[in-house]
Amino acid sequence: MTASQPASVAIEAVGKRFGDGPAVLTSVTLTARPGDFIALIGPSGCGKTTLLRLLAGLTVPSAGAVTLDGVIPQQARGHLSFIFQEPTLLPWLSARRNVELPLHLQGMAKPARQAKAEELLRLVGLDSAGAQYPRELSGGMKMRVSLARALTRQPGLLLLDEPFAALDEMTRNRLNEDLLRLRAQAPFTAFFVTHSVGEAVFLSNRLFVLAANPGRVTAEIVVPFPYPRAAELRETPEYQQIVARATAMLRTSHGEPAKGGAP
Amino acid sequence: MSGLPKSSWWLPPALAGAAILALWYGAMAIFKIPGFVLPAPHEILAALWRERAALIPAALHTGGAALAGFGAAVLGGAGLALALASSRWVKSAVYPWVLVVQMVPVVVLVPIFVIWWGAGAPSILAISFVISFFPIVASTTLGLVSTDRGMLELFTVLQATKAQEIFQLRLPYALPYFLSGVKIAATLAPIGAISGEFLAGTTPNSLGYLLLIYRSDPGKMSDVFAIALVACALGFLFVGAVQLLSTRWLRHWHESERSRE
Repeated sequence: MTASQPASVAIEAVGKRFGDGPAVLTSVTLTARPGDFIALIGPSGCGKTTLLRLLAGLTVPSAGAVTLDGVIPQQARGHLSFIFQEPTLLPWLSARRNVELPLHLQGMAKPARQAKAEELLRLVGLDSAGAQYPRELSGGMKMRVSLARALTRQPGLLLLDEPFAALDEMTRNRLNEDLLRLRAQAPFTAFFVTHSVGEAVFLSNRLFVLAANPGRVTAEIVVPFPYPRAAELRETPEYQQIVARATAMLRTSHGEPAKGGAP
Repeated sequence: MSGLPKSSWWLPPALAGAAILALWYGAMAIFKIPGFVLPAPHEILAALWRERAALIPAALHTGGAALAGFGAAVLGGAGLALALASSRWVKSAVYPWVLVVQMVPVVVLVPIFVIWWGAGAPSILAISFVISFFPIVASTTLGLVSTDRGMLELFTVLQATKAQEIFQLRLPYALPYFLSGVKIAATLAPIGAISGEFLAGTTPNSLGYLLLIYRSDPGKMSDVFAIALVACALGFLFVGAVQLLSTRWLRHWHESERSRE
């Protein structure tokens, strides 16, 4: 499998409703340039997870169109990876064989995929845990395995749905730093859904605030810090200023239930 | 469990067993229960030894019949579960009828089987099969249709083929469910075989048939209890074998076989 280039993503006037239900998303337009790290924050029910699932082709838009490098997500699956809220590791496979899974499903020969899995486990800092089963791993380690698995195919687009929400803050910060380090080594475009404003600002170069009822984008914040970013960024006043601004915008989007329609 | 070192796992059941024996002897003495109603434990052990020449070949024979019925139930049960799980339509059409058959009491099925196949081995196998079949179907079907949704989506995103989804996700996911059904079937298959021999047996060389002989003689109550012991042992053997496999296959990943670290 050759490495994918970071993908461009076009979300054009996308709306989504399930059956006869209310609109989950309405008139969402958003374009990601190759290499963008986009964070999506917003209250529960704002459709941020649905947006991610649309990008993965796990559901289709009711209106508008989603394209990755010009094609619909279902045709671009070879170039994208999805990291779920849960680590979704197969409990009957060792950590290493979980990381191998995407390559195994593609039919890669055993020695090659083993070597690749070992390499990725090393990259996520789990050199010695390959033989362990998910049950034997901590929450943070499981997420690292999940991350390694998502990177085996060297995706052009990485979709992350609150992947670190269940972890303690220290572990979460470490994983954020590691995620950026991995991205520097093998660049990808990323969409990252989170409830944590700090996490969103630390990771992304563009941060979108969503509001609920119906789900829509209400603001974009450009995060100007250059990559690579170090852990110390979190202590700078500039970082804290943007976190404060994003938090204020998030509060606004919480506090103003819209009457429907696009902003 | 707390308070007991790991090596003393046998202590509580042994103590409970000793208490039961004490109650047994105590009750016999206090209520003056005659031996043909309730034989004393040592009389049962004596009967076990005295009748060994009949009991050992009978146990082997019954064990063989139970194994055949059990094997057929495992294969048939897993096969039917696969068919039921393959489509919602098949399941909704067939499952109620599986339930209907399951609701028919064994004593009603026996004469039907005997009319179809005559008394003897085929009917006995059929009874052992019918009684141990359903738990495997029910739990395996449940396992096959309750595959974790996140894992299914993972396989979708990873562009897995339908066959890969079945063999690398749905089947392993259903394995613990299948094994719990098999474990229940393992306790039922010997019961089915003995019932079958009791109701439709033709050869005296079996536990069910021996029971038929012993129970007509009031002096042989301790022999009847000896058969109960042998039947118990047979059941434990079956369940033990399944448990061994289950531990081997699941110990790394399933909570039910979690080794106590």
